[in-house]
Amino acid sequence: VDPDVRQAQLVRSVGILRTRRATFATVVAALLMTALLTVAAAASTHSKRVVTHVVRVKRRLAPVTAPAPPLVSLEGAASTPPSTQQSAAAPAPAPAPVTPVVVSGGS
Amino acid sequence: VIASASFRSLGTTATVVVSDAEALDESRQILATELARFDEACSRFRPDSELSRANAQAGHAVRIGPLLARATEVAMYAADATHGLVTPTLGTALACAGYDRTFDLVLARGRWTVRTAHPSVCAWREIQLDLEQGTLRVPRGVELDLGATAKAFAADCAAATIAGRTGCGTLVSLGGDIAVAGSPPPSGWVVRIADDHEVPLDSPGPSVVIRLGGLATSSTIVRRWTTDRGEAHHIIDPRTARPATTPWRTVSVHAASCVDANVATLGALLMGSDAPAWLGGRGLHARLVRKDGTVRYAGGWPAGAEAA
Repeated sequence: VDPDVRQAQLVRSVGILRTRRATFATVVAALLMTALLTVAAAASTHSKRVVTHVVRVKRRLAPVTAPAPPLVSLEGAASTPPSTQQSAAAPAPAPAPVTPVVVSGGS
Repeated sequence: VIASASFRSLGTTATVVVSDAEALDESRQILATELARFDEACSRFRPDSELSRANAQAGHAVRIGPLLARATEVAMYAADATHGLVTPTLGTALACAGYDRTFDLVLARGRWTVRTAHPSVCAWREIQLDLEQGTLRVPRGVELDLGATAKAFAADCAAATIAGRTGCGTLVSLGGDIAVAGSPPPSGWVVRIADDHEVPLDSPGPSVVIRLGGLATSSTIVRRWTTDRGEAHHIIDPRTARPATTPWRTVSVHAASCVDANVATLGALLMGSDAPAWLGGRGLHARLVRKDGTVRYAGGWPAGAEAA
């Protein structure tokens, strides 16, 4: 056999072998990619079981709101006449000889 | 000429003092009528009262009259002003502690075995009061007790009514919780301060002069009874649902109304050592007596009255 022919046959065999390997690798890669994408697609489309705590906040509107103003001192008493308001802003000590009219104590 | 009359009502002593003696009979009649109305509407111990009916149907809206509606509103105001410390939701806690009937009957019964009650600082927010519809819904599992505010509210109402109808200066005292209305006598209303409102007028102690508003005193050394856990008293702490443990034995407050004064005294007892700052921050004049008898003041309460 002509050496040139033999060389040509050898080159062709090596080329065929490389082509087969490349084809095989491509097919395997394609299959792996397909499987991967399939899993990803399946994971994204199938429902998950998620436990969610639902907190129901029931806003109950009270028909009546308690009066807003806090406890007030006598200085803040709106219903008292101004003339007596200042002089009675605080209780005064009673003059010694005066008899009290009533006792304020626990009951 | 100042004149006064006293009688028993609402489980305590009711006193009316007027600046014109001729108005005394009418004033006494007005006071008795007013207190009877309060008793019918607000008593926890009368099975036929509006409050008992509302308590019996807890969880359902019940139609009520305007007086109970106003008294409940005042009680909610007290709870709001004290962050739930002075609350109307202590009926069950009081009953578990032994105060489940009129106090005379509590004393007559003797020793009581304390039952456990649950704290109820926030339960008052579940009360549904509709003033327009005239309905009240007591929260399920709660029993309302208006004892912390209803007497003071009755004193304010009665004093204003008497002064309005008779035109004379009026002082009404219900168990030592005092409301004044109308023009006071020239020297003002002289009030003796004591641990117990039933002490004689000439007993030793400080006296002060008031001319308007209200003056109330609350104490843990009165209205006490015996239980298997020792002595109990009627001032319940909603945080524990048990009789309050407090450094103060008696607190007196002068404020714009008897309701405000009474709520402040109860709130101060329950706040403990924070009470003077709380009272002072609201411009309230107060006298606080520690358990050992030493006295502390808040606001403009006259320390000089102590020597009188």
